[in-house]
Amino acid sequence: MTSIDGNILLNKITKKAKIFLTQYAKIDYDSIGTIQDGLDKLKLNYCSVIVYVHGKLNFTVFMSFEEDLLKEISHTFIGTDEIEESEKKDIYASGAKETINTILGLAFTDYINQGKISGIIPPIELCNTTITKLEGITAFSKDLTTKFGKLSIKVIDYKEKDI
Amino acid sequence: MLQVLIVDDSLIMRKQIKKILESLGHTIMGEAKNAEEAVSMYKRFRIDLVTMDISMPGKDGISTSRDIIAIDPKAKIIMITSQGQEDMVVDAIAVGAVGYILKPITSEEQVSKVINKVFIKKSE
Repeated sequence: MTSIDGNILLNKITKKAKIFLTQYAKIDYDSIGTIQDGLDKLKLNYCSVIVYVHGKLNFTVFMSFEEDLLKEISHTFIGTDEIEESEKKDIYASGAKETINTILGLAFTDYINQGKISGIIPPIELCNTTITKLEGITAFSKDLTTKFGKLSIKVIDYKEKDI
Repeated sequence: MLQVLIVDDSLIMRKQIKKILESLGHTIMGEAKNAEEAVSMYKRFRIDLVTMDISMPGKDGISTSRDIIAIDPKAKIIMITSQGQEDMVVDAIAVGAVGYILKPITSEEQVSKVINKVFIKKSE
């Protein structure tokens, strides 16, 4: 049986996240930290989004943004930081969702074209929360630190299937 | 200049596309966040061009394009798509979409090139 573990998935995502931040959002990252596995809880920052990826590979990706970083990325998307107060919450939430969609699209084009991934469920937003992991589930995490705050990327790889 | 309908469930993408199209001199006639709104607005206004998010919850951009083309077989629809959605783009072209723009959208030029190709092709 061939399998791809969560660390490989995480590295593919992190690589494209760096490209997204530096080339698209024009935000340099200062460092990348790897979080040790074995946490029993996943703490999510200011705003987080979750995507479930399914097919022969089957995993969940969390991206968690610190507030100023998400604002900066969102302002880049719309080309201005002048946002109506009433729209701010929705704009930042959709900024987080577009970010994860874009990064995962870049990261997994090859797996999609090879039929290893058949679908990516549209992102769900979660803010200021902690998720308790289920027993036996392994999480792989990396933090990209920028001057606007951290982007935390977490992959939960549920199982292995023949690919 | 064109009268445009933007169809996208993402508020931030609607804002981004609107800003770019307006800076290119086009007029935004409506912003729809789902298939139902898109079809309703397409019927209500005279639309020269539709930008259509390929992946939307519920009815996706391909089905929504099919609905619009059923109303107006000459509708000009450009799909907005991400990397990894090549198969969906092929399906959208088969339905009648005339072009696509790949996200992330990084410049006005990226959008204007596609629009120009569609409308130069139309006038030939």
